[in-house]
Amino acid sequence: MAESFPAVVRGWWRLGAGFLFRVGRRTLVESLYLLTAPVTALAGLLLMLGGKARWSADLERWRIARLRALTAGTWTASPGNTGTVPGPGLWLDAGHAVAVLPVVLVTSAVTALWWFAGVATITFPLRNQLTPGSEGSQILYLGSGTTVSLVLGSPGLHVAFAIALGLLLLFTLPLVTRVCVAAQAGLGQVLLWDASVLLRRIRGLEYERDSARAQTVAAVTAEAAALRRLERDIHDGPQQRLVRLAMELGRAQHHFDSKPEAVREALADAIVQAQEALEELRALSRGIAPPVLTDRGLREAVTALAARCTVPVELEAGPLDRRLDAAVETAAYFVVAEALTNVAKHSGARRCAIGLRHGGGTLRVWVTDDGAGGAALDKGHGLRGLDDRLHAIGGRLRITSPDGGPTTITAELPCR
Amino acid sequence: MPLRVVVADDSVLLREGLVRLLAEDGHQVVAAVGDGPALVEAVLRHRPDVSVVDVRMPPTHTDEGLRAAITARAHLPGAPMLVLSQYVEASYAGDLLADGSGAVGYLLKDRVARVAEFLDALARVARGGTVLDPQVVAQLLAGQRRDGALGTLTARERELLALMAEGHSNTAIARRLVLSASAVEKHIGNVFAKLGLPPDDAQHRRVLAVLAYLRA
Repeated sequence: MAESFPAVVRGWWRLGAGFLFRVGRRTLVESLYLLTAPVTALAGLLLMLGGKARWSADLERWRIARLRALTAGTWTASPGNTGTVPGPGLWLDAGHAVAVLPVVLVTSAVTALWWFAGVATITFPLRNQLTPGSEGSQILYLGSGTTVSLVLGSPGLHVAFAIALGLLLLFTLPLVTRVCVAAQAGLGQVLLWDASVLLRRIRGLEYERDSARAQTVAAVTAEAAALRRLERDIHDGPQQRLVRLAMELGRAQHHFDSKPEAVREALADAIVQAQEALEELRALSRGIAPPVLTDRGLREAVTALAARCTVPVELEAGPLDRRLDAAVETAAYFVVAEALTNVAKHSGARRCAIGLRHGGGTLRVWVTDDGAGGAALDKGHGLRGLDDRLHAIGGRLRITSPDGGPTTITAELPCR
Repeated sequence: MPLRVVVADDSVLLREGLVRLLAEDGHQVVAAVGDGPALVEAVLRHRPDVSVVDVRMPPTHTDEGLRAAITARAHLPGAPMLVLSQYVEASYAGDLLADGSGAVGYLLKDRVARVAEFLDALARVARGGTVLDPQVVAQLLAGQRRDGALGTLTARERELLALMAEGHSNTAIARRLVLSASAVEKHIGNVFAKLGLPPDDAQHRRVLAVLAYLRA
């Protein structure tokens, strides 16, 4: 034997004391949980009847979470979910508020009775000595009104029996509280966690499906809107120019023999219209897919936009390590283009800054100006179209623009 | 014969071009407007010999001009309208002809470049004729249904009806189809008979025939 006998005893003693302490602490916490349950269950029921089933469920979730935290290591219910995320199943919450009430009444009554009987019997000898009048009686006083009749002879036997019974009651108390907690918190676990976790999973899947559908719809809508805008732009721009060009050429032909002055004038006008039509077509093709973006990538294209802007622009963009997806590049480009157009047209800003950052699977693009603010999705300014465009590729647009400025438009685009 | 004309086009570019073109040919542009309501007002006030109307105008930029032309004709029946558009749709032509009183034209904008033909079409509409763009007619021929009264027309008669829809006179049709004037008249008479059109005045019957054609 390596260890001396007293050391082993000390070790055992320490182990036993530690065990007793842990069990005692756990029992106290569980008892507190069980004995306060009628009050909280009643409050929960009232809350539920008042239409606040969510609150009552949250209260019980909080209680169970506290219980678990304080009895950590001895509690073996399914781990994981914290009670902080409210479950989606309101009807489950309400159902729990109702179902828990009878359980609570039983568990709290059993716990209270066990405590009461245990403490009363183990303190019997003490109380017996303090109240000598009761000596020799065959009644074991458990407290006012409650008695256990015993058929025992001597007072010594009385005391011994009381102590034995008290110890038995107190030693079984942890088991009792544990069973009661298992029943009561188990019900909460099933109704407030497990079922609602299942529900939440279903809701989550439904949400994913709906948002995927919404994303598709947004993509189609954005594309249709873009095509319509393009058709309008062609109609209002180059098409008009070309009609006018044809008209002027027609005039020239019509007057060729009779009015040389009119012919010269018509031809001069025709040349202007042809040049303008070309310019408009160039602008349009820039609007569809800017050549600099296609050829040299986002950073160069944004730099070109910044250089064209009438408001001085500061560019905070490190070189991107590689070319991004075409859809992401195009969307980011148009965010900057639209934002800069708004800065020049509406903000009255004196300075603005463009930022580009790619990392963590996200491309973040922002445009800030020191203008008048007040930009919003609903106000037009093309921001709604941008939002649709971003939504279509799973990105999002954030606008911070209090009256008086400054305005910051931020786009976040998912991009691997 | 100089005409009093109202021009309605939201594009300043084309409005100016049209006004100049018409003025150079001796016509008088009594009003040049840029949207539907202004067109209706100008037609009712000036009672022009003919109006030249762009289909697409503000505020909706759809078929505003067409609807304004129809509204103006509801107030002033038979007011001649020559509608121009960047593209032609047979259904639009049907809307224009629906009141059966003729004096409507529906042409691609590009036709303006053939100045002489355009001015000729304008004069024919002003006189109460019907002028449809060859493209409208081509659309109709492509999608033509063979049932009903139109199904009983011979190929030659259908060809003749198409030319009538384009607004050509009997003489022009005779020249195109290399037929004698009397042969054309005979064919046209057959078309009217087959479509069940009453022996009314020729101009009106021509409109109704084209209308029947459009509605087929």
